[in-house]
Amino acid sequence: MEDSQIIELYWQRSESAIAETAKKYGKLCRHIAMNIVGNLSDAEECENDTYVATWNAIPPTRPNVFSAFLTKIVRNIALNRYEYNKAQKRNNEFDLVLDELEGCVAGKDTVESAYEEGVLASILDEFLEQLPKEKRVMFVRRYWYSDTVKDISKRMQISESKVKTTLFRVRNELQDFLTARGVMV
Amino acid sequence: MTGKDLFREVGNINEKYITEAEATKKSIIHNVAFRRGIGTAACLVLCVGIFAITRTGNKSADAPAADSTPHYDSAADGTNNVHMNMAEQDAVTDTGNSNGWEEFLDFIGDSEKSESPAERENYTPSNTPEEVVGEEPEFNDREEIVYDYQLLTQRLQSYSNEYEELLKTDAFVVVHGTIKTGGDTWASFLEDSQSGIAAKVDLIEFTEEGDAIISAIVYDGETYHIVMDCTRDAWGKTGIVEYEYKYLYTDTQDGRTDVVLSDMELEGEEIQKAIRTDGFDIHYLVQYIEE
Repeated sequence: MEDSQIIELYWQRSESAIAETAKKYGKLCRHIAMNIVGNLSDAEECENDTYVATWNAIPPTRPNVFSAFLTKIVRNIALNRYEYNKAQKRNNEFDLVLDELEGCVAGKDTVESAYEEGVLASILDEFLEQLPKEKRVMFVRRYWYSDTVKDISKRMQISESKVKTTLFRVRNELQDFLTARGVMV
Repeated sequence: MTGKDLFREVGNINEKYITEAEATKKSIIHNVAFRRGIGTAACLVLCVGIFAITRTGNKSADAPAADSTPHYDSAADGTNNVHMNMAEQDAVTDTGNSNGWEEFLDFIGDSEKSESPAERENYTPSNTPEEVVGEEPEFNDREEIVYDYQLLTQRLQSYSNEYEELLKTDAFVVVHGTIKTGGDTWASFLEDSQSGIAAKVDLIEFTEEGDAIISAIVYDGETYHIVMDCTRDAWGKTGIVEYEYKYLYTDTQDGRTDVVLSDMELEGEEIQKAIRTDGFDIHYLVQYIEE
């Protein structure tokens, strides 16, 4: 079923909206959640919470890109779940993702005025726009989808070593970019 | 801002980048397959072209029917236009078809044009050209470097835990950041491994309580394999740990050298940055100053 048709089901408050969403995007949502929370039961709970959140958001929202709208929700829900679980259990793979981003901002102070909701995201968009496609895709797969290095290597048909090296260089470039834009000093 | 904050902010990027990354898998696989196909086809065309040109240059009036692959004609017909392929050469007896053999050797670029398969089969040491006779083969007394987890573990376990005894070994011994013995051994290992030559060394460090942590480091020409024996550490619970990395980097600042391992291929200042900043995918192997 096309995304526009699924969105219309939400607007009509049809319960089949969730069934159709699960059918088309359930696997993707679970994958993203799994990358963050690290276990299947929590990932499935995040997936279900995502459907509830989507049901509550549409209407009034009418997303332009339904897949991106959905996956943003599951990502945030999974991150909250990860924080809730952190005391009891760690997800080593996702911790690596956060550690890598921590290295990006390490030793720098954030300028509060630049760190306003929306401003930093648009700066990140600017950064991503000027990256070559391969680097950009790798960055998004790692820090948006939280894919493992191995997953990215398989997806892009390149060695894990090259993935690690490229991500390392992109993080350095991001740090320089954020500093140049006055986000960090 | 923390790494988690940045992660949340990345979540707000434009949707087009998200869909681009999701769509990439299919397009990349198709592109890779296409490029590989083109590359393979180009190589085949080149090889066939070279061979065809070579054949055309030596072709006589009685040349066999045009055929892109070399083929073998029976010696009985006495033709001089015999072309042998690699699979058939061992079955050939001396047919006197030296023209075809030389042509084949030209094609494969073999410098020993006078030697037919029959001659090679009859080869004895006495046929060796004079300039070779009398030369002693170079004796390689380097021990073959092979990574064997079981053997390394056994060897590590056989080390004493007595400080004085450990100083007498061939290992590179570092005590709380200061080299005690084995500096030359370590330098040789670094030089060989970073030149791509297989090498090995044992590294001994000590905990605060004086227990030895002994590691066997083996570079097999491509990968650094490490087996670390922590069983002497009364407070540690890691036992014997095994790991591997592709690259080893060193960085010396203010007289202190850091040696790290990583799977990232780094250059120049990247090495310093990776070593000096937290959060990068590197493994700290050892840190020391010269005594």
